[in-house]
Amino acid sequence: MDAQTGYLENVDGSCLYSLNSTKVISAVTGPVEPKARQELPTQLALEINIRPASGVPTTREVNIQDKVRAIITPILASYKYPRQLCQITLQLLQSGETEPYFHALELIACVNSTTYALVDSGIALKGIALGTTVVISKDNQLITEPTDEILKNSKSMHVVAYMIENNKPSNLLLMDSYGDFDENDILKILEQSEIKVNQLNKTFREYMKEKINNI
Amino acid sequence: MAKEIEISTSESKFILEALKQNYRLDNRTFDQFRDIKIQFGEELGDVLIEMGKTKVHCKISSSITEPYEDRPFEGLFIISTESTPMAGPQFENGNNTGEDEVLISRIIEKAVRRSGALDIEGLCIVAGRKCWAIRANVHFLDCDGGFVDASCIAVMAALLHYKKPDITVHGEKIIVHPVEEREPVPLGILHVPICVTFSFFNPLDIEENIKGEENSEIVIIDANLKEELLREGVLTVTLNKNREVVQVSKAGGLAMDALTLMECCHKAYDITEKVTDQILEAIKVDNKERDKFSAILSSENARETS
Repeated sequence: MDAQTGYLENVDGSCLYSLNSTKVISAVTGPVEPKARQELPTQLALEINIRPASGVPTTREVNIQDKVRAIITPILASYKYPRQLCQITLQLLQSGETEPYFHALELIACVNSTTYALVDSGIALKGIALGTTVVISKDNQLITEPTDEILKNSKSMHVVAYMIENNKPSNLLLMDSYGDFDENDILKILEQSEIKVNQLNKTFREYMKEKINNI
Repeated sequence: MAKEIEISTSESKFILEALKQNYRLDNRTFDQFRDIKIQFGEELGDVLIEMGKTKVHCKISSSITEPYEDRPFEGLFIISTESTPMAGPQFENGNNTGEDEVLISRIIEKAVRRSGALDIEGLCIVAGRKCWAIRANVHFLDCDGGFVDASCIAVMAALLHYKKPDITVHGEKIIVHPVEEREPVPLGILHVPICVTFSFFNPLDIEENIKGEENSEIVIIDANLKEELLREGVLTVTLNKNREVVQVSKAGGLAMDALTLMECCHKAYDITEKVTDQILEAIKVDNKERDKFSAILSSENARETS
């Protein structure tokens, strides 16, 4: 995993994020003045746009967009900015998975990248959102952060995103599962992903600490 | 919502006054093109161009499709240029009808596609039935002026870098060989057009804008964002290394002399030559890194090349 914040000049927050062979740039602008139809009288409106590495956005991108929105909305301190807009643009540079069939890796890269960019932009947050992909392989092994090859040969795959408050996972924001699995598997996956998210949180904090120390 | 970039009166006066005294804010001379950084991604045809703070990413993708009915012997080549608020607040999502955006995509289209830089007849597989469709996706990441120049370089570098999977044709049937099975084949590039943009400033009063008698305008190459906002005329010259003028585009603005145009073309040629060499060199270095065994496996005879 590799993240680089402040990559772009003209937006408030940005992050170049790569995990295995998935690569995405996120840009956050806000709070800015919204269009009349986006404006919410009491809180911050959120606009998310995801652009694929090649071709025009399709229903697949809209699907990812909606999931990212479901994850990001709860972490924003949205009542702090009434009648304002936060614009998030995500540009995929490299998909890293077989595009028409999967979107788990891109979704997680988008979520994690957006978290870095939001912190970089300085918008008030209630917590941060970090997530990971877990797959159950054919021989019943749990693998986090899979590659495309592992994804293709898995029995089931699960996207899990947690909200992190006060330095520990406090809330499950999204769990998106495909394939063949039972209740026991789910519990194991939640446990495993919490460990992974804790690691991600540690990396995140270290990165931000170093970033602040270098200012 | 799209927001115009505002520049304060004092700042604009300062920049213009500096230009009158032969200075630019980024310490370049008037004829100096910014240094170009070319980075290739993991995949083929994935290029990131950095020119100062301007960043443009281009990715090539290909698919097999049916050719146009009236052009059965030609493949398809599409350049998609869409800007997002990522490049700056002046760009809007899903609305690329602004004057600048349309002009950028038209100029790139003319420079690369209509000049025949890509051999589209070579993309034909079965006449009238099947052909390759090559798509160049240009992503504007960060804007500090010079989008036309940067994206032209990005598209050309990506096309040169890309290789499409090898195919075998058995009558109507086509077998597409995976990259692991057979060495992919590069695209047929006929020439490398390079765009150079000149910006004009008028050091005199407004009257000169209309009359254009004095020919004392200030000409600078590769303006950055602030200079682009203040300029009163713009000229884009597209050339290739063979000294061919691909296009000259000047949409209104300050009147200019024919001799100035000639002078601009000469200056542009020097830059074209330098940039083309840089792109080809970068491709060569990258190819070598990707294919470490080609030198050992090559059966080419050693020969003297001057």
